Amino acid sequence: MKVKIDYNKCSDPLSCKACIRACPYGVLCIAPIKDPKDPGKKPVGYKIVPLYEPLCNSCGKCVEVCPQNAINVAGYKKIAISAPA
Amino acid sequence: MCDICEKHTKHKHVRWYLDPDSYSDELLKDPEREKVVLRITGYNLEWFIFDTGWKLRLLNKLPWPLKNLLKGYVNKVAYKIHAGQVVPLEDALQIAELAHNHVIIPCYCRRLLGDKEELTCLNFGMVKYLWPKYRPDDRVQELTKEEAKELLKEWDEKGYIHAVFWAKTPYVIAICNCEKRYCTALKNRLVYGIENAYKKSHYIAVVDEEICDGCDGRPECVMRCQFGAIRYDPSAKVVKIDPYLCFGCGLCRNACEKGAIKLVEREKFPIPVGW
Repeated sequence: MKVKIDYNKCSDPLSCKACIRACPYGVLCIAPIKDPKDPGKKPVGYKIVPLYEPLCNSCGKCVEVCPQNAINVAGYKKIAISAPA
Repeated sequence: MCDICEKHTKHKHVRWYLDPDSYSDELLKDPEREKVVLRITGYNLEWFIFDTGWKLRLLNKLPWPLKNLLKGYVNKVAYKIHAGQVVPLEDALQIAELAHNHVIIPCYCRRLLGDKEELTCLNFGMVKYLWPKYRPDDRVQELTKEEAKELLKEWDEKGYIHAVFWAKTPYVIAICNCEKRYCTALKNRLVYGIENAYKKSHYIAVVDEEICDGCDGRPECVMRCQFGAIRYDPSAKVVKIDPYLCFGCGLCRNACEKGAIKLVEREKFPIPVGW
């Protein structure tokens, strides 16, 4: 599991969607929670899933942009870059 | 002719999407096809996109003997459900000519994977009545044949790839105008290996190296290719197209001001590159 999302922190993805816009490769997707079966019936909720996980190369843009710090990507560490003196 | 033309249409010498029988409402009388159409209508389309990709993601993690077996199965059923084939602009215009009930709806791949609302999904047939019924909150715009053709040309200029989608071959249901960043069908092919999710076109692009001069080191055709098939060779000052990666969409050909790139028929191409 390269991309892990904490659904307790990401509670209302539809109001945010920052990670989806940030990902340069299109790994993340908004997914309906249950199979609607009825084309006119709205799903009970949505969640963010890494639908195309093999495309992820740990660039970390989703981690940086998430306001709730809900995403964790294996192989990415936040490193503080200090300006030269 | 590709295998759809050979196996799923009556007239094997006509491309399956240029055969008028592929647009006939007679095809809608098949109950299996009706089920497929409802499966990709309204909120079901969101589920279809997610469910297909999610199952493929799990399939991808299986050990290779089981993975190959299941991939073969998914490849076979792709023709019975919903998938697409790339078409260049001239074929897309002919499809718009043959179809009826032109309507544009929001592109769901862009919405789910990019949070973008763009009316770039050109649909035909039943969709005109199904969409306002099941998703009245979606913007739906009816078009005339001429307006649809104008839009196709506009999208071609922008660099969107045209692909004709079926609802159980050979019934033509839509022309998708998408890009690699968002297209879930293309990703199902490139990432998970399901070739019949997004087939290459009946053409392949070739460069005439006597006309091509590399555009002074800044060839626009290289920027246009979404498949990474064309690259610039700085020492030779020409561009090279990899025939195994080329999908035959024709966007590079449109970008070439000198007319150095042409689309030739994939069937007659000397290397067996496949579809």
